Amino acid sequence: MDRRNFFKLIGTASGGAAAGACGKQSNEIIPLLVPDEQIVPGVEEWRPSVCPQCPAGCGTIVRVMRAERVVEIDGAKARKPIAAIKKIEGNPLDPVSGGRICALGQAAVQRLYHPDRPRGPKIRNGAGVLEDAPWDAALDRAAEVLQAASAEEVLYVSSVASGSRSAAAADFLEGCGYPAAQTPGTFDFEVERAAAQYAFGWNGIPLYEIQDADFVLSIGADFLGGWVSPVFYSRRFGHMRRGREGRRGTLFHAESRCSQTAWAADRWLPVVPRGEHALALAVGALLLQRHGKDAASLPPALAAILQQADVAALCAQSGARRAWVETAAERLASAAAPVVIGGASIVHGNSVAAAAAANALNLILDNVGRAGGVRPPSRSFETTAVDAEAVRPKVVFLDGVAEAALPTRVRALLDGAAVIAFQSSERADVLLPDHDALEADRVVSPAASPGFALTGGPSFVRPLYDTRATEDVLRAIARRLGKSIAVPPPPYERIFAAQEGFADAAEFAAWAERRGGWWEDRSKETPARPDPDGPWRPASPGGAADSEYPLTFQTFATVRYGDGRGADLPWLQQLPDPASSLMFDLPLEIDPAAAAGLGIRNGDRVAVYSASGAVEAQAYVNPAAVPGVVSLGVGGKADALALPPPQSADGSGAQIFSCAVRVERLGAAERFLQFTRIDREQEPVRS
Amino acid sequence: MTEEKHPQWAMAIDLDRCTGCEGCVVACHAENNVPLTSPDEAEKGRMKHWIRIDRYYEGDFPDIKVKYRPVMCQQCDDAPCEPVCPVYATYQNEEGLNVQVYNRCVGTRYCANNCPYTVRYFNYEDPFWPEPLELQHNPDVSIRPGGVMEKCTFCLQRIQRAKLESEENGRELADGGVQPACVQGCQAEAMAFGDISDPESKVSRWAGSGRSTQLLDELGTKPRVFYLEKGA
Repeated sequence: MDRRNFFKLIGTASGGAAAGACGKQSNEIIPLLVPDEQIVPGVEEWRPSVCPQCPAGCGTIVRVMRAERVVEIDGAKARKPIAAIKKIEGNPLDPVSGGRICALGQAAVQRLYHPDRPRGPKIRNGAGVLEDAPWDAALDRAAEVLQAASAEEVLYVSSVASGSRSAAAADFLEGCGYPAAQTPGTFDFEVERAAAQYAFGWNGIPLYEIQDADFVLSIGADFLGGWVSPVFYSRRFGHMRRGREGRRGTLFHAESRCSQTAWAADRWLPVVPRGEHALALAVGALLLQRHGKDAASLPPALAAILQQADVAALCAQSGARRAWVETAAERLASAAAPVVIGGASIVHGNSVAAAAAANALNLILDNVGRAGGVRPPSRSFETTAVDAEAVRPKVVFLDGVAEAALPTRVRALLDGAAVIAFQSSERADVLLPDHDALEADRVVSPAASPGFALTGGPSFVRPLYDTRATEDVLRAIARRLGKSIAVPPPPYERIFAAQEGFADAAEFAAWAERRGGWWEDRSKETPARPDPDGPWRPASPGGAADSEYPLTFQTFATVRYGDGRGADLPWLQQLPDPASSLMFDLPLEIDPAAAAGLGIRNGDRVAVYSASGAVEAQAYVNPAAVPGVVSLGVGGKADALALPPPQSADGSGAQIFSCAVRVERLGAAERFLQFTRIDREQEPVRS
Repeated sequence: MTEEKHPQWAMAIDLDRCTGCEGCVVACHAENNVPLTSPDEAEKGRMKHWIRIDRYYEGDFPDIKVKYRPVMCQQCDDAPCEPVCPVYATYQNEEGLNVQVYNRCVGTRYCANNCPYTVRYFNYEDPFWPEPLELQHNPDVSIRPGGVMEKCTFCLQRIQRAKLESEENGRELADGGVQPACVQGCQAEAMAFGDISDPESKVSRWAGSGRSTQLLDELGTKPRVFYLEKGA
């Protein structure tokens, strides 16, 4: 921790102590709300919080200062002093963020102050228009639609984030007899969790100790981009590369798109879509056949496949250059601390098998639980993805999910149901707006952390609008349904039993809230127990194209918009897309040869057709695009998830992100707003 | 009477750690009240990012690499932007910062024309933030009106604050005691900032690395930003 941040945090803690010494009651210290009328102009306060932008759960510190808001009082405009949030930075004490923060996390403050944020409850009227309504009427309407449905006809769709909100939702659903909350099946790591279960017998997302590794092979996981915890893994990456005197780690990355991780890698191994599985098997076969590694720790079925595999054929199937695959295997075999990351930033039909095979390479390398290897997850995951075949909901709750991230199979369920939403949603029939995450009491358990962690705390600024905490709203709905849901103890008090050195639960909670969290140093030691009945099978050919749909489409979460939830934030809109430099939108990336064949140039409007849907976008001819593969991120103007069929990867529940498509040029560029139009350093500016 | 010793601010960026994530770009916007750009302005080439990520593709698929580097005002010791300003709105201060005096600027844009790094941004219009986005504004940084040139200041307001705090506390400003917003947010910890006249400072150590280069150093501008190139 640097000195500046040290003083910020000490200031927070000792400021509270000083206030106590001045005779203020302790209950004015523990609730961290900054009363608007007490805030001193020009004096900043830094409060610990947790980033709401993705399940990574980065600990943050938030700068609160006095600002003036123009309000209307009795028809006249007046300036009202309020406590406003000025800046979000990483919490230096937090083991996930370590004082750092990503673009998406920085922009969370623009969600709080977004001009289009819902300012009160709404109900869809008979004409189909969502109109303002009093809270009582909106809650009555929610109760009404729930009463008209049986328990099995209620579906609660939430994000994979775990913490105080998911606990409140679970209490509500259990108390009312409704099924447990389910996730959309996109960006909720179903593939990674299934793969970890098969390869290690672990429930959760494994921790890859790349900061101590000498050689990292990442297969399918864009861990520096839109994967599990970009800040956590970027910090670890930086340390691996240059944080150790005289010891620089090397990264090879295999993926069917030139992603953020591919950029940073020492060697990008481009593969065809679905080619990750063949590549993982090729590396495993080389480790056993050429480098004499032991297969004893592997599931017998996988060991047999690798021992008999034809490496040349697997490399050809994967699309990766054989010499590079051989180098990757050689580096893994000779490294003192090698590690393989298995994931699916782009989910294909065989992604579970691919990620499981990639993870199993760590068993061959005997690095489970070792420095620079792979460790058990810091937390378990209990959620499952919506099984669209098994439910016919009449009422759907949408809680904390980005609409752009909803797969078509979940959207179809919404079409025939009454939708109760807690955040802005065009699909809502009843909108019960939650406080912004920065105005709410919020504690989450990060998706990946060195050990089990709870991060966040109470709110510290007053809600700007007529919003209510969803936890309270759920209890209010339950009361209308004749159920009583108890108010749970604060999150930190729930884990008090395991703590030492505190007088009581309240003292522990106050301590954790002042620091911004409670974190264990290491995840629990859990021996790897691979599943002999896992998806251990030979690789199938990569690609998905056919004569009608000759190209392969794939979508992904971007470093800029995440799973789409950052797409309406001004700072992120004007941020140039890393690959194309396009602002205000995401382009369809197409390789130069395919583009030339279709007569497509940068910025041209194109239509993309699959068997399941069609979208229009602007094209970017990406010199690093895999030939025959077109890519479009989630969250742009084009609805990327409209194209893949409603299928899950290996039955995991994870929506697949790729499919065969046809691309047609619609017309010339009208407005292709690139920050820079230069792709090559020596290239003249094109007119 | 002894002459007061001023720190000489400089930055070093390790491109071997940098991931090109653009977190620094948003951190800068949040800290410095950098005006929002509308699509209409962007179409005219009037985007404003005090720090940007230059990106170039090298080689051909599949042996293709992406070369990228964060670029902000290089705070040149021999800054080409300074001598062309007719009203002395930009000059190098005693701490080596190429400062911009907003209320002196008359908007000739000569400085931007003369900057080889194209890191100066002109406000063609008064900036606008739809209500209530302005609540986020950093009160430590003035809003620049239309007709004024702006650029990276190395977060001068943070430098000033740290100096005042260290004076109040009677302590010397420690290495790392000031971090511009981009440095503080950098996820991969790829950026270092400090006093280049202190040979023990992190920025001095990084700048002295065998991988250290300066952007367009052949122009003789003597930039104060050092780039540590990628590779083993």
